[in-house]
Amino acid sequence: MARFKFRDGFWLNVGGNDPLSPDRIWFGAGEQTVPDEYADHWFVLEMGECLDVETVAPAAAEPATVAAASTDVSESVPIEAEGSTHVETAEEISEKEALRVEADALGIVVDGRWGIARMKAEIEAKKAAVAAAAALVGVETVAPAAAE
Amino acid sequence: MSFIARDIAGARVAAPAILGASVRRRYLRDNFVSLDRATIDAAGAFLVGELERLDPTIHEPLVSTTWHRDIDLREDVTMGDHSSSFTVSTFGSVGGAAPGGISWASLAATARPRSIVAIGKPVGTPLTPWSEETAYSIFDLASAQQMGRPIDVQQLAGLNLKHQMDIDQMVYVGDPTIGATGMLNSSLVTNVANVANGATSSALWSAKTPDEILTDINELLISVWASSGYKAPPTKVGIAPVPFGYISTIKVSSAGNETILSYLKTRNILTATTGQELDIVPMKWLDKANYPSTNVDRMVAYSQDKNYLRFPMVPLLSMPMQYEGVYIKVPYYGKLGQVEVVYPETIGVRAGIR
Repeated sequence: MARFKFRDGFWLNVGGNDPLSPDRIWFGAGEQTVPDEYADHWFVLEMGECLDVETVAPAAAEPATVAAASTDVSESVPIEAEGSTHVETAEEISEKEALRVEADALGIVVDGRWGIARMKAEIEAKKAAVAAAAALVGVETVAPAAAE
Repeated sequence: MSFIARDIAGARVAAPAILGASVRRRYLRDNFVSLDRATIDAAGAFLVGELERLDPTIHEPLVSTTWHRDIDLREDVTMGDHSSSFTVSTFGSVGGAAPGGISWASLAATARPRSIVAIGKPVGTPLTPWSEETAYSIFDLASAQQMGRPIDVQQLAGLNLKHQMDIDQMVYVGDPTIGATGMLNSSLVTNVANVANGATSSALWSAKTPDEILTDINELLISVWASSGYKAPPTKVGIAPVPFGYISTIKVSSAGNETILSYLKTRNILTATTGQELDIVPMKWLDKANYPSTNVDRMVAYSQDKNYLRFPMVPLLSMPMQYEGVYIKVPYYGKLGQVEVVYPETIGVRAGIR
């Protein structure tokens, strides 16, 4: 947790673009406690100043915290929070890109807001659907992207 | 004799200032005071060569003020008022069969639910005096008359321009020196958020597809519409100039020749529900160079309606001409209020588009 002082209240959009059920967190004006995974988000830094720097820096740099944050997000949010992209490591980004290529090959239209967990789920669902369709017509099919 | 460069700045900056104090006498190394161009400028005179063709057109500083386009004035305030205020009513009622339901009544009931009204008055905002004067000596006036370039008219034009620039600032972002905010940064407005990242993990429009940009704008429009209880779909969208330029040139689809801007003007919730075209305009105060304490460009959506949002202002008036020695002075005065956000839920702001 980090302490911030905000000039005005604002919503931190951490992923979704649905205006009626947005994936957002409200921070009021004045001193507020910000979870570590959002403490170095550009909009949090834009709207105020960090009062407790020492708490923020190690949390952002600590790999264990980054992994935990990613796990939490993938478990609780079907569409991963794009607000957490700031903590993505290079490996995570390359994994995401690989998943995107695989999804494209399977004919899945990838939403830019999807994270790793959502893309894996969509790919699995697509593969299952392909396998089920193949079983119906009696043809054994291998998912093209998986083979590549 | 040497000449110093013309010392008028601000013609091409976003929020220019008129620099009057920089015109001063220049002291040379031989202890003589020059009567150079800076000095002669006080009367509007220049040295012109025999083979030089001087264009007599008066070129004033380039300044854009758009407040009159984007907000309605509250005109009932007067010079004698010290502050302006308004009331906001709250209605309450209970149901008949169920407390939160419809007011069904029985035939034999002797007591029935009634409607209650609470009228609240938010704290008023001050009407602050605004005043400047034009002043020129009789010598300046005589010289200007001889040259055919009226200094009094020029000074009044400068004063009026400063007045417009000050109103512009007050309307959009206010002035921290008197604790005032404007329509873009009012603390009453809570529908303020960052735009979502696109496929490239970036919020910037330059890194987004047309579909993602349309999603960003529609999210803002629907969010404001929903916040107002679906009463007031935004009638106007203000966008920082650079992103505005971007969407006015980028095609909405490779299959067509329509830009994102032209597409959005007619395909939005306002046009769909009322038939009215959505007004999308550039606002220089949303640019990160002008908006207070920011590193990103913004966009805003709101309903331009005097009942929702207005700016109280007492128009500029002048005193009779006053003489003081060889100087002729004319004071001008008025009062500027602060933007009244009657319904903060009818405004929404999104940041991070550039």
